[in-house]
This record gives sequence, structure tokens and C-alpha cells, in this order.
Amino acid sequence: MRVITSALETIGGITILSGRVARMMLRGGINLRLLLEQMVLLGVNSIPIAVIVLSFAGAVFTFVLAEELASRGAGSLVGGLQLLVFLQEMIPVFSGIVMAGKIGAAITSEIGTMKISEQLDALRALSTDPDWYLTVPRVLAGIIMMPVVAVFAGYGSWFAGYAMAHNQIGLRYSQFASAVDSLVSMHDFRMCFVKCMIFGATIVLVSCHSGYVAQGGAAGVGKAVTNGVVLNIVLIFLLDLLVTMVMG
Amino acid sequence: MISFEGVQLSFGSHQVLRDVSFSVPSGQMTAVLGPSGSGKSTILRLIMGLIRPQQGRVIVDGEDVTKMSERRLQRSRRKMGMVFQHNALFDGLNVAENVGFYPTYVEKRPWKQVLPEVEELLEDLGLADSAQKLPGELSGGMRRRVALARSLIYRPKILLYDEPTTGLDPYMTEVVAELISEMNEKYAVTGVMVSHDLPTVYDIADHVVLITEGQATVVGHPSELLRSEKPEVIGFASSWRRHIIEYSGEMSKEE
Repeated sequence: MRVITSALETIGGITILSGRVARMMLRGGINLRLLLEQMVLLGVNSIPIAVIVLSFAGAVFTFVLAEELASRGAGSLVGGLQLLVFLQEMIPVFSGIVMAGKIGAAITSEIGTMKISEQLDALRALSTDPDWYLTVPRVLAGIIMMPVVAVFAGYGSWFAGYAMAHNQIGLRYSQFASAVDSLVSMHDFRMCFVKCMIFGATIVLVSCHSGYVAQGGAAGVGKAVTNGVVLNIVLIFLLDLLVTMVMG
Repeated sequence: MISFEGVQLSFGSHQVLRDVSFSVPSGQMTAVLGPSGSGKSTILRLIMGLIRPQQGRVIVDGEDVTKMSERRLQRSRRKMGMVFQHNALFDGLNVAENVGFYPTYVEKRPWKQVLPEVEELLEDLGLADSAQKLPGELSGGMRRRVALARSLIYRPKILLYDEPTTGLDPYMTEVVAELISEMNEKYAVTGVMVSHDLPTVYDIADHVVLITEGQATVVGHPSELLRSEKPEVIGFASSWRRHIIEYSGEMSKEE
């Protein structure tokens, strides 16, 4: 019973927070300086780790697939298949998981620490809405920068996949990329970007909410970070399924 | 300027304030005293509108802050400043940015225009050399002064201090107490200070309210803490009164 109550409280809390943030964004309550700061922190600083993770994923994918396809005379499909799978699934999901671990945890711990050290009350005492100062710039930065991170991560996975295919079955670049036109369409790129934007907003909203409800000192902040990251990862897979079903 | 009318507040099953009524005289420093957990800091949060009571009214400058929307409260808070018990400085901002927070983000003034005001205030408070330091690099007394500067920069009519001398060494306690007195006079603010540091209260307050068992007793002038025959005052201030009497006795012997 307690688990259900707690889950409902969390879902309700995130929904209310999303509503407040959306209203504030529509009213134009955005500070450009704060937004740019967050775009750098959330986006630019996450590119290296996302590129590393997706590069390994691209290499592993090709390692598993290349010889199998080559042995059936379909080696030239490797690049196209890799891009199709990565655009639809791997790039948004893996980038989302990387962002949930790196950025989500940082946001929850920052806001949680601000809460237990009365900094959120200080913001309100200074006539400043914490949603305006903390949540809105982060959510918007998440929506804008997650696709940017995905582009870099996507290039990483593509070239790592090519390097693996070249090394394993001796494909030239033109052969590796030959099936892209026939297997990949603009719709796949759209789906990738839509998923990235949805995951970006979700990760930041869940992480901010986890920080806002943190209580009980350092241990409480640690617990909030864990809860936030776990919930983010579950939501990434759930939303991935929903978006794929709707857009697929 | 500030009055509490029949305020009741509970956190869960724990009733913190039972029926609190008192007024804070305009332009003076009022100290709210009481044992730990008596709801002293809650009084300040109610004045700021950071929490709302279950019953009663809190009138600040003619407006009932308990009934206001968050948006109206934001406007109302512009006439108030608060120095938090643990300072609540923003970790990621340096001293100058902390002090200039209100003019930059609330008044939306350009930093070039804000900086000279910040520098002047930091100079006044003896923090001129620390403008670029982060809060984590400052001593307790310096952090307290930065918190005071962050509130003073927008010239509030009301300043609230939550345990301003707690955790400071005796010398710094004296420095901060003097600073509060000086700044209150210079900027002509109405001050409300929550404390259980009786010597500081005795030195700088004009008016004392004692919170015990969820109720407020207006003690009056701080000297009443030594003279009052009210049982709650005697109960709260007994050890301090004994200390003062013994100290006065020793002084007169030495003379």
C-alpha cells in the first residue's frame, strides 16, 4: 500500500511540476543567461561521455553483426542496419541512460542539497521562484541539448561501427554506407530526435522533482539521487516503447 | 508593521504554535526567544509566507500574508529580507554574485550597474577582499555578513534574522551583533531576530517576545528578562539571570 501511495505521489508531483514549468515557459519566463549556462553544463559537457559510450555500442553491434552478414553475402548491409537500429533505439536510449546517470544525478544532488541547506527557501525569500531559476532553464536545456548530444554520439557510433567492419570483414567506407539510402529514411531521424527531446525533458523533470522532495540530510539526498536515476531509467524504456508504438 | 493574530500551526500531530498573538513595533528590533524546538524559526517563516498556519492571521505591512497567492507573496517579500540560520548562501555563486542576486535576477538590472552597489556594501561590511571567493572558502562570521549583505542590498523595510549569532565564537558574536545594530539603524529597518543568545538580545533588541509551549508572552523591554516575575520568563532566563547576578557580585567585590 505504501509503495502504491509513494508511486502515486511521485507521478502526481512530476505532473504538477511539468504543468508549472510548461506554464512558465509559455509565459516567456526564461532567463537566457541561465539557459545558456545549463546548455553548456547539461549538453556540451556530456558530449564526450555519450560519444565514448555510443562508440563502444556501435563497435560491439558491428562486431556481432558483420561476420554473420558477410558469411551470408550481405556484408554491405552492415552500415545501413546499424544506422537504422541506432537511430530508432540505441542513440536515444543509450544517450538517455548516460544523461540520467551523469546529468540527472547531478541535478538531483544539487537541488536536494539546496533544499536541505535552506537555499530553496532563500530563493523564495528573495522573491525568486525556484522553478523559474532552477527548473525551467534545465528542462529547456535538456530538450535542446539532448538531440545535440545524440548527433555527436551518433557520429561516434557510426565511425566506430565502420572501423570495426573495416577491420573485421574489410569493408570500404562506400560499401559500409551503401545500404543507408535503402534502409534509412527521414522518419528514422525524426523518431530519434523526438525521442531525444522527450527523454531530455523527462530526465530533467524527474531529477528536479527528486531533488525538491529530498529530505533528511546527506543520506536523504543520496536516496533521492538513487530514486531519481532508477525512475529515469525505467521511464526511458517505458517512453521508448510508447513513442515507438505511436510513431513506428 | 507585523502582527500575529491567533496563529495556530501543527506539523503532523505535533502542535508547534497553539494560539500566538503579538505585534512587532515598527522601526525597532524585536527578539523572539524560546527554548529549542519552541517554534521560533517558524515565526520567521510565517512572516515570510514560506509556510502557512492552519488558523489565524499574520499581518505584514497591512496585508495578511497567510491568504496570498505565491505570486502576490513574491511581491510582498520584496519589502522583507531574511538572514537564515545557516546563511543559505548559493554555493555555486561567489560572494559578489550572492550579494547581487536580487538586483540581477529580480530587478533584472545589468551586472555592470549592480557591481558598484555590491562593492560598496561589501566594503561597508568588511568583505571587500572576498568578492570573488565562493561561500565554501569563507569563515562562519564572513558567511553571516555575506548573508546580511544579500538582504541589505535591496533596502528591505523588514529584516528577519534566524539565530544570527549561533555557531560563532564570542568575538565574532559581538562583531555580528554590532553589525546588526549598526545596519538596522543605518537602513532604518524593522528587525525581528530569533535567538536564544540572551546576552546578544539584551544588547541589541528593543522588544522581547518569549515563545513557550506554543504560546507567546510579550516580555517588553529586554531588561525585563532580568526583572520580570512572570513564571515563564523566570523559567527560561533563570540560568542567565543567576550568571549575571554572580558576575555583578564578583565585579563589585573586585571594586
